[in-house]
Amino acid sequence: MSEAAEALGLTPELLRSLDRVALPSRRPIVGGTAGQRRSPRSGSSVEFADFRSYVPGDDFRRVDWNAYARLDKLVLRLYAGEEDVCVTCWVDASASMEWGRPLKSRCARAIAGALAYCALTSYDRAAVTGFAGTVIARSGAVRGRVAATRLWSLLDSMPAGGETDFAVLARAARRLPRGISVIVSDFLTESDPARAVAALREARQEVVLVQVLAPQELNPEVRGDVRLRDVETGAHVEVTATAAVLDAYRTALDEHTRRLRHVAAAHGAAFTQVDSGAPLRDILLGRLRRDGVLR
Amino acid sequence: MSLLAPLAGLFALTVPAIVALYFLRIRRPDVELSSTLLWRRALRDRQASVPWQRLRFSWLLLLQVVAALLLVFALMRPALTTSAALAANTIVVVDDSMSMQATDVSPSRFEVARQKARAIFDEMTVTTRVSLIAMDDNSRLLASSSGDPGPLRDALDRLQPSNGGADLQGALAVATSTAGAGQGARLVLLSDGIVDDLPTPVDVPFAIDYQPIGSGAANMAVTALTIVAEPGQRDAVAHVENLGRERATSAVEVRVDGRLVDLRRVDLEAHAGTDIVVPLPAHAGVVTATLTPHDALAVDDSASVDAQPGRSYKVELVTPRDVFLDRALRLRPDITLTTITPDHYKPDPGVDMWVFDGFLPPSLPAQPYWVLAPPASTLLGTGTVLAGGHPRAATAADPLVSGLDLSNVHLARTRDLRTSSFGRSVIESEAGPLLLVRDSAPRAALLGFDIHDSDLPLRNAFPLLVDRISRFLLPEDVQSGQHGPGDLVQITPATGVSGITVTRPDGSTSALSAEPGHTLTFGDTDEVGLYAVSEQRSGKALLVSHFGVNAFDPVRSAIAPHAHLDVNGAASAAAVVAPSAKQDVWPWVAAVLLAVLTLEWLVFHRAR
Repeated sequence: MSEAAEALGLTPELLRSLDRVALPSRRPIVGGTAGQRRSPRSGSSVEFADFRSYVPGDDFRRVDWNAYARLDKLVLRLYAGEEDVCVTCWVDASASMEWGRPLKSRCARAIAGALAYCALTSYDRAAVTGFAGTVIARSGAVRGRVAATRLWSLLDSMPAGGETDFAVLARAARRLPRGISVIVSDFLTESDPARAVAALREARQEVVLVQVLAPQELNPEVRGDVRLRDVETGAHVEVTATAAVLDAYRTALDEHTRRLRHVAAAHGAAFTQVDSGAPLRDILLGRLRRDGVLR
Repeated sequence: MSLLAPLAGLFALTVPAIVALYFLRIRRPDVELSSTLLWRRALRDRQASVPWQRLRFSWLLLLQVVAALLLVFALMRPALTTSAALAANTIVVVDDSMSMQATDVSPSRFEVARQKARAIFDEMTVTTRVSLIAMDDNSRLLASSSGDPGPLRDALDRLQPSNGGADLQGALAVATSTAGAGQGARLVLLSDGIVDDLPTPVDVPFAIDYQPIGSGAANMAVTALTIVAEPGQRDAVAHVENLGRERATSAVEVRVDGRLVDLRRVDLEAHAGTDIVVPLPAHAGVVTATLTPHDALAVDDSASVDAQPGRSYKVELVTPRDVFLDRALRLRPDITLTTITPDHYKPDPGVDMWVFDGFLPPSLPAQPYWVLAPPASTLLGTGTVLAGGHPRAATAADPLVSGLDLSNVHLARTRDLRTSSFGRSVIESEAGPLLLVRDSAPRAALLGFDIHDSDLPLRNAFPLLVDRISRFLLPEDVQSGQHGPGDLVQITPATGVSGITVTRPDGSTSALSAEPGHTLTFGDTDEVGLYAVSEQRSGKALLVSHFGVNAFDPVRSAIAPHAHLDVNGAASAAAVVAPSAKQDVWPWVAAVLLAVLTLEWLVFHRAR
């Protein structure tokens, strides 16, 4: 158990729970090396590699009926010819993520670390990239459970600051291998994520949008006559926080969330919104599983 | 409703200031947020970026404006007009003038005023200050007390109606000094409104609650009683007036020394009068005219006068030739004049006054004397003969020369009196004093020139000057004329009199010490009736004369009560003479203000 994992809140108990979940892909992905995911290129390999539990959506033809007879449990036979994918976690490291009680960045990095861990335990490759106005930090694609520590260390030590610009993702998407891209951000920026999602899709990425919001953003604690200062852009807004104004804020939040859902749906991406104040276990094994990000 | 401090309304300027604050955007504390993206979208079209904003309806603004207006209203000290409450500083003025003796209300106007005053005293509380002022010819503060009505009741019980007038201006002056600078004083005027006219409108720092007393106007009065002397005949003339508003009938009794000599009926229209002439018998003494029966005001129904001729004086004129002086002195009826030449002069203690014309005796007499055309004498301080110059009054207000026209008098020469210490100068010219008089006993006069060296005897001023000088030297024993209640009566004791005793109509007496040559003044004449003057001579009292004090005043005898009383001019009389008091209501306004502020506080916190 590394210090970085502990700093991210990834306890051994939580990691054991994460061993039993994986990131599903909605369609067959052509990966680079053998893995647990189905490859559209059939019959490329017949070398037995491993078993794994059946999950809904798996090819029935891969079920090891002998093992079923012995274990009374559906398992798949994995062959060396099956391909793995690269799960890239794009973590928003802008200044706005360093806000909230608790900090949104803690939650976002923990989610990224957990998803990367899930990928590694599923014999996939994983990578982590921190971005804001530029790419702040990135790891190479790693494989194997033990490599998770490197990703966690990167996530824990990644600096924060600057304004979020999703064009960074659009530019970086061209160099990505096929796989899954998980964007973890608060999406509270004028920068349009739709272009990034479209670019990732063009790069044959399955895209997952994870919006992390602080409890104070979901239910504002602003009272009276105040001048709000944007920690990311420095912009000011003068507000008299009457009940009507607070209602208008919640309406704007709902509209913003609805727009993100539309962007995701338009590009075949998944979307989930999490409360950074919620326990990490509930987020990972509750919210993300309910929204299909994990299974 | 009235405003006691209307200038405080200027504070209403705070209202536009409050509204202006709502136009201006307030300075707000900074709060950091992760992003203002959603706030900008929420506030889009709600707030502009200009330093002012469109005024929107706000309960806070409304309540604050209402609170400011209430505060201004309270500062303007709104006051309600009330009649029931006794003001914190109440001044009760009781009219005790002659007309208040009228019995048109039972038992009399004065008693009704006293009852009302007692009722006011009964309303006193520990926080109430009440002052009692008597209004007559000598308006004065009788008592003043806070909380304890005892001193006020005692002073009111001692107060008796007078026979004088009602000096409203004096009463208001006393009340003003009594009220002081404090606010909220109230004057209760218990009167029939028959008061002396105010020379000018009076500003008083309190409200006046005039409570008129009296109901009737019917009154007849004897307004004059005089003795008219004709050669061989004297008549008493009484003037009777009906001062009421309706025709009235009465009977007039005329008595001489207590004996009825005439009784006749008079029937008079309203405001009409008649003279009643009654021939008097020889040696008639006191004459009294009385209306019977008495009407509502009895004090003016009777008048008395002494019909006896005054005292006679013996005067000797020592002159070698003069006829002008002789004639002028004989014009005074109470003088018995003897004219002699200087050769026949010899001192005589029985002479009341000497007149030396161009002659000076070796020694000056002890009786009053008048020296004219004196020779040069160290006795009088007279010097050489000078050119006369133009005579004029030394002091215009001197009663001896007041009103005398000396401008047409020409004087050839006069004796130099500049170094004389005889007395004060009355007439002077370029040559110095011409007429000196001495006020100390015995009284004396010194005229520096011979009247034949001037045209003074040919001028109208001459007999008047002689009469005035003779009356200065020989005043009447009791001042003649009509005396009203409160008048001062001058009494001059004769030579050898050690004291004077005056007996009032009620039988009480006043003893006055007499000094030779000095005139006494008697002022205790408030009571109407006949006063007797007795001289103390050699330890014996001798009745010498009477004088009557009578209520001969038709104005005060017109007893119709006045419903309104003008104090501050006719135009503002209604505002000043209000039958009520002002009660501050600002505490109630302040209570409402407090409620509004509480509501404003609740609205403010509910909006947060």
